[in-house]
Amino acid sequence: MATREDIFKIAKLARIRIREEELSKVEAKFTAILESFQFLSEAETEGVEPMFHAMDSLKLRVDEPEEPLDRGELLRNAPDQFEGSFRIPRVVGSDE
Amino acid sequence: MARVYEAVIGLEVHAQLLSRTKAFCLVANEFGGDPNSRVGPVSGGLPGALPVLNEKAVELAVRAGLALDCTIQRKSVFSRKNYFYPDLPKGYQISQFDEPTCTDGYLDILPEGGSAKRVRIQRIHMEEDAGKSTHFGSTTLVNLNRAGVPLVEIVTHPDLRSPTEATAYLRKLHQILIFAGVCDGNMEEGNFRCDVNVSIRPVGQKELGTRCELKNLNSFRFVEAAIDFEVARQIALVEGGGLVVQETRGWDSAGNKTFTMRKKEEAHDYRYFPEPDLPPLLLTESYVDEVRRAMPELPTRKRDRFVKEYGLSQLDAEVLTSTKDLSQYFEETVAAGALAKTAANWITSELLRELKDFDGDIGRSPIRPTELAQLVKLIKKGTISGKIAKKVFEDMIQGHGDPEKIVREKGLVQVLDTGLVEAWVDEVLAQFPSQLAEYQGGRMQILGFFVGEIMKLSRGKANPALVNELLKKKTGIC
Amino acid sequence: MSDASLLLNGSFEHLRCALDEGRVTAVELARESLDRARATQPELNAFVSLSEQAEVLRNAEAADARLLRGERHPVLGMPVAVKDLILTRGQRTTAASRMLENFVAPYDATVSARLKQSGAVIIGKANLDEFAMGSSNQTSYFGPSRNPWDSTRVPGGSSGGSAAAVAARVSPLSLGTDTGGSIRQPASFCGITGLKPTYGRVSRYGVVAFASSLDQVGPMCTDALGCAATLEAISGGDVHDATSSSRPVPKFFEDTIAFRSLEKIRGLRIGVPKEYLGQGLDPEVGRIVQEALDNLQALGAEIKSISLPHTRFALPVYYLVATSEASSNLARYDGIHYGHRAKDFTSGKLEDLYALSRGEGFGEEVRLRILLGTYALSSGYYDAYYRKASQVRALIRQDFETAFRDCDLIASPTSPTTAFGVGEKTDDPIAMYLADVYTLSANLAGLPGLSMNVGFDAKRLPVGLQLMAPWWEETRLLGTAAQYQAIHPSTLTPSPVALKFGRVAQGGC
Repeated sequence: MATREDIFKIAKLARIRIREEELSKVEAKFTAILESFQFLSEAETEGVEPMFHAMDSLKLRVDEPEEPLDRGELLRNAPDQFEGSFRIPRVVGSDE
Repeated sequence: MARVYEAVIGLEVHAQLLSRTKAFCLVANEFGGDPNSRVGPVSGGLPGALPVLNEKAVELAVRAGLALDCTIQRKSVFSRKNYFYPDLPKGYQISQFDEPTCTDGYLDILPEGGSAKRVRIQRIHMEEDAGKSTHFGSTTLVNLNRAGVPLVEIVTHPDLRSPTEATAYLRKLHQILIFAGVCDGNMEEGNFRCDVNVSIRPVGQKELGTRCELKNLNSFRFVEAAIDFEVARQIALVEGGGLVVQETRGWDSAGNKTFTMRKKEEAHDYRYFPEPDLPPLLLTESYVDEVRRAMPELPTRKRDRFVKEYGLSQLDAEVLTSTKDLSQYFEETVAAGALAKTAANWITSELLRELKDFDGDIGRSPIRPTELAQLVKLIKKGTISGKIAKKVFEDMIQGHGDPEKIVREKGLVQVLDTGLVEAWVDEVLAQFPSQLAEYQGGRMQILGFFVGEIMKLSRGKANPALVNELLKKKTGIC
Repeated sequence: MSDASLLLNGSFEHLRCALDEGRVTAVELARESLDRARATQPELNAFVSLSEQAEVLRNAEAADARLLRGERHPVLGMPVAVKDLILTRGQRTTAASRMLENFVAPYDATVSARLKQSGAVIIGKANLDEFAMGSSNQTSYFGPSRNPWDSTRVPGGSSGGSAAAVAARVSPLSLGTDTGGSIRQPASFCGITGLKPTYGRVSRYGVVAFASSLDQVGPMCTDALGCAATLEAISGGDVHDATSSSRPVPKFFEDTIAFRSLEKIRGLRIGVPKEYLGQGLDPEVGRIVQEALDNLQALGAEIKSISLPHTRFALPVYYLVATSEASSNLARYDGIHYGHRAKDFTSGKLEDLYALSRGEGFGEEVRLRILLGTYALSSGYYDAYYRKASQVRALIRQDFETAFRDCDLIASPTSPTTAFGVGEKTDDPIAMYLADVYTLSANLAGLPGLSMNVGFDAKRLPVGLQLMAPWWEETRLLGTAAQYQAIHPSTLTPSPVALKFGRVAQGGC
């Protein structure tokens, strides 16, 4: 099942810090849940198309612009901003 | 003994689409503006926002597919590509993963100094652009104006084998997308971007070597230089007993080399899954036909038409259809009444020469098509000679506009009055008796001298044909 | 005791008449509603925030002006509480999370805009489980909400605050959201009527997303007619939501009244899935639900046993699909552009900035579900988990397609138990997840489902009956409930908290 290492890897992928004290609890819950889901593999799904969407048809929209968000309202919720840009501390080790 | 290696190159081009709004957000798709002034709930990744697909983006993606001879998939699916970065407000990019809209196309190229080649296109898919982050002192600033702009990503098979092939492909692709009205190809504004995958392998080997991805190459020259450098680097590495490490490398144009941007210690796990907010895109046969019918004329078709319709040479047609703007300029000039072949000559030799400093960008021409047409018409009418026309043209290049006005103001109207011209001929012949004798004695080249003197005397206005005729008459030499 | 006070404790229909006939004004209702909200807040904690009084009264005045002009709309002038997962422009919308504690919405959700256009008066943002993840409203960053029938017990979740507000008769109407039962289960625990519409009936634009292919906004009200009125106000295609349907919106309010008058329960074939009985179902709940079925039979319905063979897989399928979609939907909460950003960021590494902000901003249950979802989508596990679950989901939908060939409605208890105590079940996620076992399938299949109160157990706790209908048949659900409620008015008894404000108004239109 999911090991401690798996959980750390997943936490890293999901960008969520798990503190040392919490780790056992998370591991236990994680494992319990995954175990209880194991029997899903018993379902007979040969040739079944997965249901990834709840609606069948995609409506396209016309290429007509709407007003953008008012910049003041948009930036109001920003933790930090500078002259209209969102500002974060300079970071290394970017992702993409 | 040193082995012979070949370079194996694949290209991924991201082209921004010419739609009025963003891909999934209803905000305008325009370059520039104050930071974060072109952001909507969707492109801002706000809570509760949902993507809605722009019908124009679909049309342009299908156009790109048709222009590159792809199969247009009747059903295609959008996927989420999940990763974290400050310029990606949702924490995922909406793209297409295993069911893209266009597949299996090709582009035929003729690289400089090489032979014709077919480059296979693996896929074209739709996706959205990210915002921009810029470093500023000890902070990073994020501007989401570009976030959500619609893109097509065009991916080739690793069919290219040299930097010249790569640039030939890129130039042609660039041209086709502009002609098709899909993208405006402005590399400075970042709306046509290229990533290159480079690997090497011993000639004869089937398996591909480890590849490196080169990013942030924003001109064709840089692409060529970067590939050159990278191939050499990889060969040197391997010959020295090392292994090529899979990584992303950037181009340092000052230092003329590629450098490590990011090692792929662990391949990114993007956790692709079908975008639940967008049901599958279903395109009918009639829709695709409609897009095909509405497609603007592509370069090859246009070139062939120019040869047929305007009687141009293959070479002239090729030059005039090298960019959409230039072909439009030419046709507007003809539409304004100019003779096709004459217009073609003036544009390809005179005008383009003047625009050399601007890389032949016809958009920088100080002369409008209607004005050029005027000039050509004046020559045809005989109002001015070809030589005078060149002078007028120079004035027009300076921005003095209307050729008729220039001719009038400078009194350049050609003189066709036989009496007047005859008087000039007589005057010159009288002025140079010894040359006349030589001419009559058989030195034919003196004719040119007389013509020159008559032109000087008439300040270029004497009609050359008339001068020649009268000279022959007066000297008795035919 | 003011008229407004009496009327708030009565039926929606009665209140509607009173407004239309000018016997009470929207302003009086709004004032009473806000007073009740403030009075019950310490005990119930049903609200995260109340709308500013001056603004509420302005909107109520505007509604009164429209009524005076002769305008009529089923929700015009009605006070309404909106789950704090739904964006209301200019107001805090928190999703009951530290992550969005101070987030002020820069745009209105479509449903909020439509409520406002219809003249409903929003009085506050209702409490919920954080990011809608829960079945008891105990994971809210702003403290748990309590059940107006017994304040040592939970109101259910995730739309616990919406349910409590209506059960306490603070407002006759509220909006909730339902991803796996989050409208129906709290409606059941609180003795009110709640409806999850067909997927696509109501726009999700402006609703903080939990699981995109499962979420729906729906009404939670004192009774079926209140739900019908609200559903009519908020339904319809939306250019901002590609998953919303452009089917014309029926006049739900009128149609429900018509169904009731025509007594259309007669002849309905009601299927009861045999897989739903047993399985941890509380015997008292089972008995009371059976009585309700008998009552329906007495009204002319045919009760039959049916099979939904893939029922046992619903729980894992739901949790794998929902957490996968959620892990991606919640990736935007990174503290970069909005939301909580960690202050003690020292390492200079971007991934730490994210990890700290998200680690602090999200509560335990949310973190757990994001991890689960990330795992289910990760390379190597995608096929076994997410893809497999999506295949079984198709089979679950097929079960319903088959079942509905031979019946018009499917009935079951809404939840296996009545409201449990605050603090119970919190350490065992599976036990908590089982509270939704009857409601999950409707979300997986995209079907409409309704819960209505059908009685009380020995502890005087409400018991809910769930009805599911084929796609787009909300009127059948609302009509059945409306007719039943007309014949069994005791099921509409207000909660003890509500009764403290006064006895129920008598009389009709």
